[in-house]
Amino acid sequence: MSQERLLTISNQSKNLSEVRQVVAEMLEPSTFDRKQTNEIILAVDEGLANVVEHAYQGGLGEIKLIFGLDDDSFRVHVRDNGILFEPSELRDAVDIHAHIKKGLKGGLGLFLMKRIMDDVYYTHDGPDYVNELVMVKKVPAVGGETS
Amino acid sequence: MPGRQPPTMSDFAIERAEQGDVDVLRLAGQLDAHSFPQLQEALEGLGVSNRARVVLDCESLEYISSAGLGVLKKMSREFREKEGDIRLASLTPKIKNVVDLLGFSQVIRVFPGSEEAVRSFTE
Repeated sequence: MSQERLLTISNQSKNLSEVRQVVAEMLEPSTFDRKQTNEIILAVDEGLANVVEHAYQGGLGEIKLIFGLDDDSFRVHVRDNGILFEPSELRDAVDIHAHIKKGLKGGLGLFLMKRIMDDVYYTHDGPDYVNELVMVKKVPAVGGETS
Repeated sequence: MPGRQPPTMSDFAIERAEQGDVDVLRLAGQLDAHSFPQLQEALEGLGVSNRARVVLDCESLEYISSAGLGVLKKMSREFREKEGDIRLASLTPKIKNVVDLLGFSQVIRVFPGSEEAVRSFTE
């Protein structure tokens, strides 16, 4: 089993629901259960929402999405040509509960992405993009579970 | 504030009902980074009217992201300063999972149904 889907959207939040639908359709035949699928959709939505909100600083821009699913993993690449987003900003929000109790804003999306996915990182070395957000989730073995 | 807002492109709608001095907002559809301003606007409208006791019934809510929960956190703090609160009711397992993932059940009270949530304001 291996499939890839490409999607290009404008950086408008109205496009988020369409992307969630694409992820749901891709994962439908996979071995991810419903809870895992819903969590992955959430993580992708959070990552993309950050790019939509911040990459182009209020201006219009294009976002390219590449989804790949095979027997080992589900991978999401979110590419933009907006302002440079430094990987150091992808901090571990390990004490998110204290963060929330204090009423602090921000960081919730990054926390969810890192909590749900097995790997989350940024690259900046592509020829046709400034930032690439990559999220990876291992596919559970048939009859087994990943973390 | 109208009793019902029409669904938008993101398929999110809010229906409001008054039960004494408590407002029950029935949320339907998808509450995400696109639709959260609708909820924020609705809650801010209640705050301006000094109706700071609010129950959000989530039985028909299909999706919530951190943008939606961020509004709840922000507005619940404001309402508590007015001796009110925002309380959640009728969470589906899918919505409850997101609330739990972010630890919001520690800071926002959750009830099995709207009636219990409304009653909690008088207990």
